[in-house]
Amino acid sequence: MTPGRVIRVRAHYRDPGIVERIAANFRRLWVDVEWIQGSRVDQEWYEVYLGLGDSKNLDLAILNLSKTVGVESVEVLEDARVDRRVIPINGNKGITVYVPVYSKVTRYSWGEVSG
Amino acid sequence: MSGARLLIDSLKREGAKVIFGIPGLTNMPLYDAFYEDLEREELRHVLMRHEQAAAHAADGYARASGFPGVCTATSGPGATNLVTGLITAYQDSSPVVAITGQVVRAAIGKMAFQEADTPGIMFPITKYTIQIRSVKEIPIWIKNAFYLASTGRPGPVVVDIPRDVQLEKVEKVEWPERPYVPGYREFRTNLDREKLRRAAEIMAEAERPVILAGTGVVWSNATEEVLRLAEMLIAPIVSTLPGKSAIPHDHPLYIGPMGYYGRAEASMAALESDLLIVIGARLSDRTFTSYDEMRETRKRFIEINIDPVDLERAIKPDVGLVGDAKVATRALIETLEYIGAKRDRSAWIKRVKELRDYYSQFYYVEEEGKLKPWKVLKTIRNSIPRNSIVTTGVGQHQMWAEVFWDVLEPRTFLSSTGMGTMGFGLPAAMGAKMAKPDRVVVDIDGDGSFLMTATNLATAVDEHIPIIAFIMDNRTLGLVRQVQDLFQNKRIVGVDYGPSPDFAKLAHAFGALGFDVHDYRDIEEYTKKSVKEDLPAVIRIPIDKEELALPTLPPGGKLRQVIVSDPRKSH
Repeated sequence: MTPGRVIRVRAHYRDPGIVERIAANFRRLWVDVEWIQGSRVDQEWYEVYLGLGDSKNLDLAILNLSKTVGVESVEVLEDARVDRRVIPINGNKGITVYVPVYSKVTRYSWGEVSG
Repeated sequence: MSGARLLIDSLKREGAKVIFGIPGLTNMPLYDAFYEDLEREELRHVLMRHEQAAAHAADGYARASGFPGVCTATSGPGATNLVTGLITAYQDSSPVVAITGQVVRAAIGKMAFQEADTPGIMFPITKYTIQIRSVKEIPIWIKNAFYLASTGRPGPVVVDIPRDVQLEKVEKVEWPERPYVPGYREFRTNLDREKLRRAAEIMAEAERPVILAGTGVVWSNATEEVLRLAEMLIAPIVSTLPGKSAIPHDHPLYIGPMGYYGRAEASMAALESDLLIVIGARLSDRTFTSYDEMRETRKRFIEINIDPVDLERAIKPDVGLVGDAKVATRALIETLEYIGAKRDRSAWIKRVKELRDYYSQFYYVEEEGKLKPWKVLKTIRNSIPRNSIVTTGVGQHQMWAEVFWDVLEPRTFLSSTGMGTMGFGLPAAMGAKMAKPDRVVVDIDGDGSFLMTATNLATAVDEHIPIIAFIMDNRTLGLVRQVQDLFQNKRIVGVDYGPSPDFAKLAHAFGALGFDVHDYRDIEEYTKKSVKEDLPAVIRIPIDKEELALPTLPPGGKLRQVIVSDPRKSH
């Protein structure tokens, strides 16, 4: 699996609706989400990593997400290599986690770009 | 103090004066709370006949006034009926705040009576939707709703409030001084001096500049600046369909709206230009029907947009300026003044005049025994004051209004342009009249479009909202019919209506004035009579079913393929 992009999204957590809105942003532009990992980082904020399928709409989808109410920033992990690790649970196959390794980040937030 | 009382006080603190809505079980505490406010005339409630119309009325109020319009609906069907109205406001960047009732907290998600997942339904079609969980959240989220609705790219915001939260008591109220929305920032106006200089140089060098004005010019009140820039450059102005509301059409440099159903001379001028200065337009597929067609002209683009994503989405500009249309255009003017370069553009203006004259021959055609749309609109225009507000429905009449209605003052042409929502005209006119009671407000509508929300004529009568609905009645869904006729081998199907209803009698049944027009003099007479009587009125104008909305394009066509005369008569 070679995703088009790996991104990290920092969003305000009020309820699980924020996950819905992030996913809907890609659904709307027909961009596949190959994998998704997210968790609350504190009471207020949620962090999600997504592996996105290649698509001609990918850039637009990322930019649109960066101007969604509740989304603080979208960071594109520019040169990400994804290590896929399977962690056994009780000797069984367990869960698969995706660990992006990267050195360059471009950050989008409400139309402003930094990185 | 109850949550509902807190809600009303919060709305009043934000400046709300009118609420368009329909009560039901879950927003009833809100109604109970504003009982005294209505008596003291500190608030006005307009009881609409359908929630879709409540949203359109709030939208019309917002577009006419520039201030967010407010509507309310109960949970379940009340909230879902708002959907079409809210997405209409979303597509046209109109600030609406919708308050929806919700079932009590303990019942949410359990298929309770009149329960709908309002946040789940509304998220994709609004700028933001919030479900309130505690009475203490009400003041901040009403403040936030107005802030979100009216800043950045304006849009609708839904505040969904469970009934028991509205009934919950609070001892001490802390009114927020500022909005607080984590993960939201207004778009910043970020004008780079070097970019401004480059833009000014390109403008000074251009031989055939054209300014394209969009909705951003309306919302930022940048009419004066756009006209000043045009006059400095001696640059013709074209607009998008909603941008039509920004530019007085009697300005000598305004050509008209360009695009799919726009004026052919405006589209041609945009194509022939060597520089297009795009101000506050997102360049939708209605304005540029083919981006390749525009790129092939190798013209240069200067774009101003508040939304940096929209700035480069359709066409990558030579210079992109991120910011409010008014501020950025003013900065461009100042830079241009500093540079001081002037150029003779008389040849370009002469060419634009040639285009105008050439296409005029196709527009203003008379036909014996028929009322022609262009002349109908001209007659209405001449019968009402300059600052009158016009709304439209959606269909052929809207396209005729796009081409032939002369906007003479900003914010006086309100139409559902992004969503193309039939039924917008009447309730939007009612909302506009509530915002600007001293103005004459008319709805230019079609028979198909009008009937989609016509029940609200009862509201206009009951609440004394004296608007005039002109129904261009061709007993068909004309725009669909003409596509079937011209481009689908004349296979006309599912569009023609029978003789029902009699619109004048329908108006009488509602208690409104109702007139049947037979000639152009009738239009003037009945219009003036309606204005004088100060009552809601319906003026039915018969239009031939075979009449086409021209100019048009073949489906998927480019602007150069414009059809300006009836192709059925060419053989």
